[in-house]
Amino acid sequence: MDNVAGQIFEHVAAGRMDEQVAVQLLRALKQQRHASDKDIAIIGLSLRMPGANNLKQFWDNLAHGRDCIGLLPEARQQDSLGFIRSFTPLRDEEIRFSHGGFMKGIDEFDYAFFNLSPKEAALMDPNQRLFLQAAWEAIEDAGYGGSRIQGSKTGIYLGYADWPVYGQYITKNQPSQIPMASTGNTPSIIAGRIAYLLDLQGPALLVDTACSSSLVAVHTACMALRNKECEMAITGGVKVCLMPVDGLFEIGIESTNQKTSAFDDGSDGTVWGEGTVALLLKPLRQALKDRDPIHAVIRGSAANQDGTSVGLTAPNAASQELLLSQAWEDAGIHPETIGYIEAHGTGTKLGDPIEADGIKRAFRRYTTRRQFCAIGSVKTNIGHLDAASGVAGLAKAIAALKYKQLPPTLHFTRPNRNIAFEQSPLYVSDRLEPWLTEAEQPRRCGVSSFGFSGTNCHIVLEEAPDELEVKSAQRTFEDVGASEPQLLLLSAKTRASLERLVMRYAKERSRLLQADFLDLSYTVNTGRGQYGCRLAIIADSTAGFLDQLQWVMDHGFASYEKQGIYYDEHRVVSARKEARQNGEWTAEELKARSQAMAALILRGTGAEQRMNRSVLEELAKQAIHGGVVNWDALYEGRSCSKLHLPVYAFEPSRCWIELSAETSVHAAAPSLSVNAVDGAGAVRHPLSAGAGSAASRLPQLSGRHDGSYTAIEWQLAKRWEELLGVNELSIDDDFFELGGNSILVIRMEVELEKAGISLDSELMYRYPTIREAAAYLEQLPGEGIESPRKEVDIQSTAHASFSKESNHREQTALAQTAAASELHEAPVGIEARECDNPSTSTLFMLSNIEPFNDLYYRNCFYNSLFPVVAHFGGSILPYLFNDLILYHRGDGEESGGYEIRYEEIESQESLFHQMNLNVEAQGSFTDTIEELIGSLRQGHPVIVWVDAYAIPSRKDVYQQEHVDHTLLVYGFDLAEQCFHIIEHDRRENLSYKPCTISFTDMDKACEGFKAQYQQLEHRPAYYRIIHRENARYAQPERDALRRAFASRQLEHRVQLQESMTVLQQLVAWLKQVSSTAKSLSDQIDTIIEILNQILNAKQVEGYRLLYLYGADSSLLVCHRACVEHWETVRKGMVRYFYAPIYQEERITAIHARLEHLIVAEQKFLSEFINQLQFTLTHNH
Amino acid sequence: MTMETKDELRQRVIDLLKDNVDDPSLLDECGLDDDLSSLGINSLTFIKLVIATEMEFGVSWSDEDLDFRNFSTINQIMNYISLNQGEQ
Repeated sequence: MDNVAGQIFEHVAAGRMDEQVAVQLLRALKQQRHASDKDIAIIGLSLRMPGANNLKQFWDNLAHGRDCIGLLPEARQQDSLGFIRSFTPLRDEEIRFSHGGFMKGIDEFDYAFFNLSPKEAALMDPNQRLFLQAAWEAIEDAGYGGSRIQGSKTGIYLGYADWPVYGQYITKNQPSQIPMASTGNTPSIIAGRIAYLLDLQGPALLVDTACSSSLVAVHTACMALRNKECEMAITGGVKVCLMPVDGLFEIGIESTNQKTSAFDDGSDGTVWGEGTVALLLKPLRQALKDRDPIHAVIRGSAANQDGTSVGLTAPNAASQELLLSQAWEDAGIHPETIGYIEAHGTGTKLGDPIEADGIKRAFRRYTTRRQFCAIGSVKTNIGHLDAASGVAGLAKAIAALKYKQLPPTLHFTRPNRNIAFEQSPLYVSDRLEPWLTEAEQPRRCGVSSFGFSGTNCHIVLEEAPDELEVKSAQRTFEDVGASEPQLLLLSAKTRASLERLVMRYAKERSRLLQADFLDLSYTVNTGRGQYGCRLAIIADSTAGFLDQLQWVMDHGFASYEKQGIYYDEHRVVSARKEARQNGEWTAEELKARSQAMAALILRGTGAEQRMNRSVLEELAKQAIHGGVVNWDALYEGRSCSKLHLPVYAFEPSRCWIELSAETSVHAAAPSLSVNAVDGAGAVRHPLSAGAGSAASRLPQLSGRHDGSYTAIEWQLAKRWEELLGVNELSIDDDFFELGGNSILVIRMEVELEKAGISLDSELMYRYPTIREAAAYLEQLPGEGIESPRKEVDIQSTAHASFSKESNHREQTALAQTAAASELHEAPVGIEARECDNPSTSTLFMLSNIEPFNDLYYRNCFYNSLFPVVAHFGGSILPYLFNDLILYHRGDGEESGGYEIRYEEIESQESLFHQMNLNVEAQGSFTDTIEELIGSLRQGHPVIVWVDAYAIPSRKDVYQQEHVDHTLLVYGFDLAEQCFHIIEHDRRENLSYKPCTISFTDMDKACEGFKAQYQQLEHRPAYYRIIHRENARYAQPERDALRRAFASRQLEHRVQLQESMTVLQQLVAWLKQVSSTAKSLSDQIDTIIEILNQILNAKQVEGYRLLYLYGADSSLLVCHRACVEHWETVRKGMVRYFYAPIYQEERITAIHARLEHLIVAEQKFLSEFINQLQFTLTHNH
Repeated sequence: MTMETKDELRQRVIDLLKDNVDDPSLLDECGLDDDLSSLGINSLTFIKLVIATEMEFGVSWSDEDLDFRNFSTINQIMNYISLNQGEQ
């Protein structure tokens, strides 16, 4: 470093450097030198908190003083019922879900990204899933994604102290799944899995000290970094509440008013919450050298124990005093420079004064100053995150340092009478204030976390070194090439993920515009992995790059070479795969491509430092087809810094344990010996193994042109499906890419053995696809049933008879899958098949397709689906009877947020299955017209998503308004160049009728949907509906439906009753917003929308009751009364919509109706429940 | 208010409808007793029609008394108006 300083002096002396610049550089150098060996930089951060998915949103909530406590979201109540029923004596009607700081979507996890099978992912504890994604994000946030961190000496220190629920549920209810669930429910593997996935070689361990676990984990990580046990460390905490029920898991510090009012005189305890924080840490000195982006710096920390205190779980002021003073000594700072303390602050009457006393006593060792240090507790915003509470406080402190403001602590009105704040160094931060410090003095703060176990921890933080100073020191003698073009590559495993990543750039545009372009391109390219869906951009500046991303969002993901935009998708396939599709390359081909690119870079850099544009263009074209760019070569000799940039946008795939899939222990328990001798058993067993209803189902197999697969291939596919939970398989899919692992390989060997197939698990590594494994087995004498044991004969007989039986089944399965696979695999065309009429005719329509106009059920998809259900001879009743219809209020919406929710009791998939329908969702069209025609020719109707803007028969919106909408396509006419569809002519009008749409308009409508809607969120482009012709089907009978309906609705009685509470809130809201002309005008659209939803739902209810109980039932009378009230209310509101004249007497009349309505609805609900109970007791 | 002839009333109702449906040309084929739902009148546009009628004919209905069925054909609308005009 002295050398650098020397160079600076020389440059100044020689007049080559501005003095001003030199001073700045020297100051930055000084800062670097001051970085003590003890200081630890926080370079990566990822968090999910109640109401926030990143640090910015979290800060926003804190700065605005938002209380993120609420009732457990309804979607999650469902997911928690199984646990409650299994582990508590509560009956459903006794369940009272708790208020708390809850996260959304804890069931979402991108299993495919992590090469896990959907089945294994569903069996994995959500804590493990959440922290895995969080750790990945933290690494990318620091610019260490892709291969950069791989093989490094990085440690993992996770604070975790959960009461195991998820795994115990599996143990109790699905013991046969234990082998597959074992890693996903072993806490230490949360850390171990990350190390495994990224080849991290530092220690990976969990820290459990109860509530202080996560802060102690951070402390432990810092110690390990200082001791050089590792070079970087991932640390943090995770907490989810799986059974948040009042009265359960309570430890006696819970608040009675659902508020945590830390330091307030009225405080009476805490509320529980959830969250996860992951940090990436590195010694500050090294981070500065490596030009890492820094969130904040940990100056020092300490941990100690209460020892023998008043009680095992009681806090101890003397220990806390000692703790703080140790931490300050460790940090080497004067406590007067501390501006803020993020307290443990649980909001208990006794705990808060002890904590304040401990802090005061610690400060008094060094200073007599009063009220200079602010104090607050994040628990007042999000609740007590148990083991993750320490890192939640830490995240708050980091945000405060970054935004240079002191956020308010909530629910503080009057100081706790046992804390003398005036006499103490502390004051409660009860409003958002700028965080001022004396000149040149960095902002500093402390974070405390105390354990129920007695272990306490305190960490001293300091704001990150000034970025500008650091940067000017780093970008020393470089020509800052502002307009030099750069190639930037964004990629993801799926297109939807990539689209969301691009959206994240757009959302952060204003922040990113500040970014240095070279640093930006460097981080984008070297700080992330390179995946199959790739967007390459050649840009001249940061702003240009962001504009080009916007262009892609506006125009769709494709190449626009003139704009310097390149997009394509690719995947690596086995060289043995026949008929490769576009974008499929073998590893060999990609390697050759990458080598060619490396040569290109060499040539490009050879002549001059800067890449010329044509070289970048060539690189871009190769890169989107899977070539690996050697970025190190591209940036060689440049000094670039890493930036905090948007991180990978994971697919939010639902992964949750099947609460209904309790399988009998005995059915699936392996009992090898019996099966080996009992020939007959071996015949039946293979087909009946696995989870209940899926017994006789064969997986969807694809990958071969003629759609024919051998018995062994079917056998293997069946096992794959059971073990991996994937039901659409290609014979070229790689077992390990679908989530297979070393444990599953062994299970596979066992399962195959049971079916009489002997395939050593070692061989699975050599033949990882169905095609390869089957080819191997088939070339063995006796088709792979070779075994040295005595039972050889019996086994081969068993196998032969199995083959025969399965051959028979195959015929039907083949007929279905062949068609499907052909469409998948072949370049789609209208190839004539002689034996088959639909495949040659130029006019083709599916018969018996009738528009469904009885009801508007949920949304237009069902109006498109019901004619298909009827076409295949099924009944739509099971759909109509499947839902709980509930009044619902989404949280966080400013304008009411009310809606009608149709909560499915059985999953759609299961209903489709009962109807013998396979509904295949497809993400995109390659060629809209040909794919539609191809599917229809095979007898599969298609429901397409369109933008109704492009549909001429839509009188209300054509060329006027964008509306996402579905069409049922059931025929085509090549001569007229049109499709036959079922469509209505205006929104929500039950006038569905057969009509036609030209090929061109259909194409536009589908493209329109893609551009308007698919860009924003991941949605299918169309559904192909395939009927399993020969499967058994029983028309549902009224009595059976009645009983099933009654028992299911009653099962969810609690929700029906809660729905009434929401109705009351809704009515109160309606009254409130309609009480002034202004608010009514503001909200009228929303009001009419919800009223329309309600009346549509009422219609569905009426239809159900009419069918089940007849027109004369008293229940229907009650129901009609409700409908009438709602209709009158709607009339009044629509009147105001068309003629916005505020007439007091009309509003008063509406309000009176609303009152009647609540009474009528309550009466209806109680009659409804009576009737259902009567049904169950009297109907046999 | 002077009572008008049935023809005049009919013309006024048809004009009113023309101003309040998406596709006025459909009205030419619509008979006096044909269901107006074929013009795309649903429960929402029905209120729009009611308001227009109230303003045109100087009548006023309370939301409680409104019944879609009174507006399902041209003849019914005419009857309904006559009835209410008489009352006022």
